[in-house]
Amino acid sequence: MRRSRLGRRAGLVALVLLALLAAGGIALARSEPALRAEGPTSVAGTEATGVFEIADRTVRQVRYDDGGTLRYTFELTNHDRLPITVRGLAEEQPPSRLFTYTGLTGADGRTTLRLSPGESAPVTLDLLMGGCETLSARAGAFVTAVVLRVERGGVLTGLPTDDLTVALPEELHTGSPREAFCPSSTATSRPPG
Amino acid sequence: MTRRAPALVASLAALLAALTVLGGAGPAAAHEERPAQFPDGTGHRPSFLGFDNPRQRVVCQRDSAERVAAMPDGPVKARNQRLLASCRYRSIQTAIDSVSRPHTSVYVLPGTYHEAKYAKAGRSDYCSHLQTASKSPLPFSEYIGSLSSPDPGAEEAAAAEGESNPIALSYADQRRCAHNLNLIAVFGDRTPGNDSIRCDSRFCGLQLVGTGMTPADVVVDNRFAKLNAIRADRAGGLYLSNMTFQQAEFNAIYVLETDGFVIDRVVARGNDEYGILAFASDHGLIQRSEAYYNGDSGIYPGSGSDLNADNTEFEATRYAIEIRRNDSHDNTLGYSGTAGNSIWAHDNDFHDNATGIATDSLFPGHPGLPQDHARWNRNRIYSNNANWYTAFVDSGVCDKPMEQRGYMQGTVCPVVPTPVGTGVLIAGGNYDSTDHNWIYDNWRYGTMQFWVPAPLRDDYDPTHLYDTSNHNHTFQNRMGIDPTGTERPNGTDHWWDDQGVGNCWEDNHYGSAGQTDNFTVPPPSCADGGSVFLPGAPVKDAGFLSCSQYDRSDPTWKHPPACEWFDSPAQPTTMAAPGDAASGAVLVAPLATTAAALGLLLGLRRRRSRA
Repeated sequence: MRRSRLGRRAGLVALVLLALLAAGGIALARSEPALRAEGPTSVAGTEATGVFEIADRTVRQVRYDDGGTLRYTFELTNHDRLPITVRGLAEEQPPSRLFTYTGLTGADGRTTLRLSPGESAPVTLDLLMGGCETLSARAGAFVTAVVLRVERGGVLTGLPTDDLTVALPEELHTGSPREAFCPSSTATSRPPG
Repeated sequence: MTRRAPALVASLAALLAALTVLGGAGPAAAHEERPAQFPDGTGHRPSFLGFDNPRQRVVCQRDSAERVAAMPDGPVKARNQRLLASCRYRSIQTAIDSVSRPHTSVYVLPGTYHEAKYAKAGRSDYCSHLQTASKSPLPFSEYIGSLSSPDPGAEEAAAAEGESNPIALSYADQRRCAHNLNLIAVFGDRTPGNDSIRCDSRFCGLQLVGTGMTPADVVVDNRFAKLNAIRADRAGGLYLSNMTFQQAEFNAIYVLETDGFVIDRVVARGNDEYGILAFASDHGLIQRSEAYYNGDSGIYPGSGSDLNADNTEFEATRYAIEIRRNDSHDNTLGYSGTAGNSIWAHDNDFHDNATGIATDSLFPGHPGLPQDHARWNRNRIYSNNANWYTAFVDSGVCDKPMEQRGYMQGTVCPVVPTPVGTGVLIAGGNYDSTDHNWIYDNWRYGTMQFWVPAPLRDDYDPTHLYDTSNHNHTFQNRMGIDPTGTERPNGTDHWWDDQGVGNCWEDNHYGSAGQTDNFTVPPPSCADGGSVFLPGAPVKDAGFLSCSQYDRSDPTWKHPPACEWFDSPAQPTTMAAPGDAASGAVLVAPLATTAAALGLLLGLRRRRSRA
């Protein structure tokens, strides 16, 4: 009688532990990996750039170069307790009127980057500049975040958390160029403004 | 080129050339335009030559006689009857072209003028192939057109035949192909090959005068046939009076590089962009005119001659353009001016626009940036709460072909973002004076001022980073009170991002709620030097960054997600407590947080003591 009671208790405890483990696993899978983009930063592929701060926003203005690729370099730091592997860009990226996300590479040029907990590494985000021919000359465009494809603890869960949105350390901004520097524009392609 | 000295001309030219070499932006207005130069300032404001100028041309329509006959008896009718007998022209442009000597008056009798001969005229082979055939190409611009033709098919057909339709024409090509882009055109510089942009032709001092009882009697209806209804280019001494100009994609009235002009009692309405636009001009007067239903501004004095560029005193030495006794309403902006330098606007009404007055240093390519030394005084700036963004952009009306949008019936399609509900907006200006105005019933802000970092205007010199939003004075205005003394509050009287030195707000008169503002630290008085630089103090976000992505033609960006400027502000009540909501939040939020924390601590202590 007593033994069976003990057995039931042990089973109950095991069940609770299992439930806790499962819940923890699900929670881990559902929680977002702690990956942050930080400075120092640098840009290439533009002839002029400047940085300024307004409120809590740090903005890096770049001069638009139609058809050129802006290469924006920053540090990615793993603030998670598990290793994180970055496998490039996710398919869906935030909308931006004059920038198209084309790639993310590490310092060695590789598209896969493994970061141990606490580890940082420089990465370069490639952004193709284009589309001015359909944007009014007084508008602008931002890139403020990038969506990365990540593995956490060596696991791709297949859940939405595999795609991680990382805010950039600076908001990249460019103004629409005048038509002389927007070679694909036609007589009717650009709206006024 | 500038009023100041030929040396500056050279400097500016060198700067522009340098920018070009760097691949940067060159001068441009809202539409592509040739690089503009400031006049040398030797011109003067013309005077009206009356209705008896011996040098005259008279223009009339078939029904002018009937219209004159319908006039009430009096001197105006008698004058029109007399002029009718002298009418030899059916077209205003034809009459202008016939002018043989300077200071000629073209009298335009009542009627509606479509100028069909010029609206529909075929182009010469040269003017159809400017992209490749131009003998006077711009030094640094490629011939790429941007004319949003009401008939896109026409452009494709032209392109298929190897024709081109550029907008950024050199002055020489503008003059030679006068009606590529303009319904009526006046070109005053007959020697485009020399260095001078001064008026030196038979068109100098031209007077174009409607002879009706009101401007409504003589209507030039462009019907969106050309980019501009009338263009006065290097047309020193132009006097334009008593007429209506309407339905242009760019400008109803366009004055460029002109030293000495008067625009008096005109109506400019129903245009996709501007009613009256003066650019890089001097010795100008715009008065007694009305502008409405314009997608940008009713009156735009942009890149005014930069007479005070080196003036570090608050008072301007001279104003380039005076704007007085006008009524600009139901536009996106009542008045605006990127690089609106040395402009004096007084005794005007700016009302029922999205924003009443705006000046800025936001957009690159305007000569004379950053903006400085404008004065706005004794204006009535009120009820600027029209939200065209939700009414016509979000609703899809502005997606229709231009001629189907209903511009003459009150549709306004904003081409630029602006904070709905704002009276006076200084977006990166210096030494501007806002004084002795009535500023009321603007539901967001009475006045708004913020810093525009230099890189946004394509100036990446780090020493220029903080060169805007300095030394502006706002004083002796009646805020939230109309001229009858009735309280009609603004949402917040003054909004400032706390950036810049030498700014002050003082001696303004407020309603019973007192001054409402968002100042973190009220700046010292004007006499004490105004605001000071506070190291490390955060700059408030005015919202223009998020709104800069606005593009009325783009499904995503016609209403940028983070842009709050297009939200209609609620009408403020007259019983508002002193201190504006934002300002109050600055003070109240920390107090409330502290009180809550104290309460929590006390609660915990009680619980512990009970335990």
